[in-house]
Amino acid sequence: MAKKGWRHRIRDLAFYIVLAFVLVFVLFPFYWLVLNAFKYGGGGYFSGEYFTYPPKFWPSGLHLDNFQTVIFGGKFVNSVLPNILNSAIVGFSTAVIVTAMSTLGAFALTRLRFKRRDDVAFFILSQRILPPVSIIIPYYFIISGLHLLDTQLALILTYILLNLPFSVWILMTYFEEIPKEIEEAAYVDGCTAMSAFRRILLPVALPGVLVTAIFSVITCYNEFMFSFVLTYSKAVTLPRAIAQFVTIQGTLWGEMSAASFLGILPVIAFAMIIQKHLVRVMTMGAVKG
Amino acid sequence: MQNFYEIFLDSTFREVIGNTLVYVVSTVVTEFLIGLGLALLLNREFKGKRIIAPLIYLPMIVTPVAVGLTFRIIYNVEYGPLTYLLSLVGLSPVLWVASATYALFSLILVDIWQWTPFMFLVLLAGLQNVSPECVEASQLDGASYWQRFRHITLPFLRGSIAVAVLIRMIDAFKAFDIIYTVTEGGPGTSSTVISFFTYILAFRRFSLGSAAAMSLVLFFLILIPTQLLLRRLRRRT
Repeated sequence: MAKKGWRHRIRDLAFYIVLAFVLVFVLFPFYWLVLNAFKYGGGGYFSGEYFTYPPKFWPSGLHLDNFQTVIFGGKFVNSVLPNILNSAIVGFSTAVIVTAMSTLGAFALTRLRFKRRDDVAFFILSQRILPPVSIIIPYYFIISGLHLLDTQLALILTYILLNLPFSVWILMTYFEEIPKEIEEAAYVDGCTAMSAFRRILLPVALPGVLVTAIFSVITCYNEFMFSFVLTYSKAVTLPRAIAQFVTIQGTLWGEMSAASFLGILPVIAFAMIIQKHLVRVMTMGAVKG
Repeated sequence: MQNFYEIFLDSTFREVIGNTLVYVVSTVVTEFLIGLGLALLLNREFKGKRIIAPLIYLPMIVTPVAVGLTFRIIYNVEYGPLTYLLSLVGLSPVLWVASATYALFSLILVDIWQWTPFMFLVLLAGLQNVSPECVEASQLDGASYWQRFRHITLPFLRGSIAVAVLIRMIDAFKAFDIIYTVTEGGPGTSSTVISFFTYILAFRRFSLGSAAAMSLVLFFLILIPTQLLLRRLRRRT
């Protein structure tokens, strides 16, 4: 028995060593990002604590000058606050519209009977698979033809298109899990389809609806390519603003890290809320977490 | 049709297609193997699991642009930590993103860092479906670990594996953010993949015809895995 305990302990030790390696690999880039954000920046292109060899693996103190530059603007950069605001407006408007549309859509696709219902559902899903870069050229011309380039509306319209298929599909898997008997009882009591949806289905499915909405916010918030092509000054979102710290003159390492740090905080907060549902939303309901 | 002739005759086109295939195959295969290994390893109770598991998921949620730019700093030859850490173990400096040989590899590494958690998460969820009765029965019958994995775990995991691999494959074909932020497709076109090349053709070289032709090529490349995925999902419902 004593021997077995000893073996067990070795195995546990090996397990924790592997785990430690994995964690170091996963967390190092985050550490480097946070570290760079809090190093002394100096506000110029080749200033600050970044250009030493060997590089500094811990900060010489808690310097906030990068954050100050990023928030209030500096010699070479504008404030990113308008960009954060743009991201928030675009993200929330898209999430609200997409969730409203997809809840109704998923209700129709799971509860109402109509011809070729499954084909419609799969047509919607297939849009998720379309490479966005293949629609970006026609999209650019449509948006510029409507004189909507560099507006929040352009991004909202685009993101609705990008998020809708996936939202409908996830909500369908949530709705399918709710037994139809509850609503059938409501129909017997004289409810119409719409009021059965509103009074019975929606309250039960609310957690799923919220998860879908939050995930839409995250995807919009992280989206880069469309923002990059469709906006250039007024409506620039945070990811595109962060990318602008790489310039021909050089890269503003400190400012870029500080902005990235500010940028990922809300995403992490949102992700924490829906943590338990992550598998399901990321696989469009194909795998239940 | 002339646009198609043009891009097919272009030697860059062949290079870009090659890069794309290398990128997709190597990221998906590596992510799958590491993800599966991790999922098998962590599929048990241990101290601190509730804190450690979310930390491992973190990379796939974080804004890809922020990830790409952070790696750009890490890869920097003169001042980045990677060169220094490698020199500690006696390896000579590698130019990473600045060398035509390693640029694509650097991108693959970033993709692996960001998306292995996805494979891990999905496969870990899949492992919950493995029926404990079957595992117990096999243990009674004296099956080795490998036999148990091959004949019990793997068949139960098949669905999750298919979904995880297909979704990753589709998304790897679409990769854009990481490429733009880490290498901008360079040096030259050594790390340019199709989706990024389409962008270059359309918005830097302004040859819209070739760009449209290129995006059709991408579309057909994605179509095959997509059909498989759709069939899979359709069978489920």
